[in-house]
Amino acid sequence: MLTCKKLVENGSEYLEGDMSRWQRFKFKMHLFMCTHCKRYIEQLKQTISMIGISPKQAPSEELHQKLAKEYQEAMEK
Amino acid sequence: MSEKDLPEEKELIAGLMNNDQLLFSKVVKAYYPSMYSVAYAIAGHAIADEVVQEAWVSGIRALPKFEGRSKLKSWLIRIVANEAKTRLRKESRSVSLEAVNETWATDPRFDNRGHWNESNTEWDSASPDELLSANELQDCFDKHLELLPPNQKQVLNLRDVGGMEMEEICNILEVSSSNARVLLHRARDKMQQMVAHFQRTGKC
Ligand SMILES: [Zn+2]
Repeated sequence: MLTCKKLVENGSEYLEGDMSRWQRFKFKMHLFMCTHCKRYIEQLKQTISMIGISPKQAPSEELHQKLAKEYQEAMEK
Repeated sequence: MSEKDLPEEKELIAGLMNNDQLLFSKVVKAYYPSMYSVAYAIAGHAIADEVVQEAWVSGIRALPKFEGRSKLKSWLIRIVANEAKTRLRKESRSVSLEAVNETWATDPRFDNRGHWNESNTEWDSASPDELLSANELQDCFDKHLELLPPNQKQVLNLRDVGGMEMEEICNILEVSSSNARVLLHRARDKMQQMVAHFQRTGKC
């Protein structure tokens, strides 16, 4: 039997499509019947998107200038 | 400046090859957060900016040879990751090789039969953008990303921020694919728990 705990421990493998068809079928059946786990998988997806958009740093003016100069020089060659 | 404000890929490459300095500057800004995060996860704060700079310098030089087999951003991320790894070797520190030392054995979320103890509550919003728009949540999120063990942070940043393939990640970090998978999921799961806690209590 696939427990909630096992499902949660392997949530990424499920999302990345990284399991056998039989495993996948067991996951789907469990998710069909268990609202907790269904919610967990939804929230895991949301979390992954949040991780992707969370970095918001801006380059320092100094770095920006250096790179602009580097680009300009390379283009003029 | 974000990626959404950039022209689409073809136009982007054409512009960059054609000495469009304004566009170049937009691209630098738009890609910086991801490039920085990848450099930082592998090589640390102190040299992350230098790594980004070196990567761009190599990128600019190689631009005429860019064949568009991958997206420009993926290509640059790969250069950054390799550069960060090289720098780390030069400074003779190595990427953390500590084993996957956290186990799932005792997880208070589940009873001893593996069922949920607590009920997880619904989140305020379905949109990641909207969720992060709460300042306290973004702060808490950043803080927890920072607190992840180095090896989890590396895999998470390369995969979910840099969008790299798992196979490339394993090569760069020299970890087995099963370890990389565990590290990735462990990190994602911690972040999910952090957001869940914040949604439930309103506190970090
Ligand atoms: Zn369940």
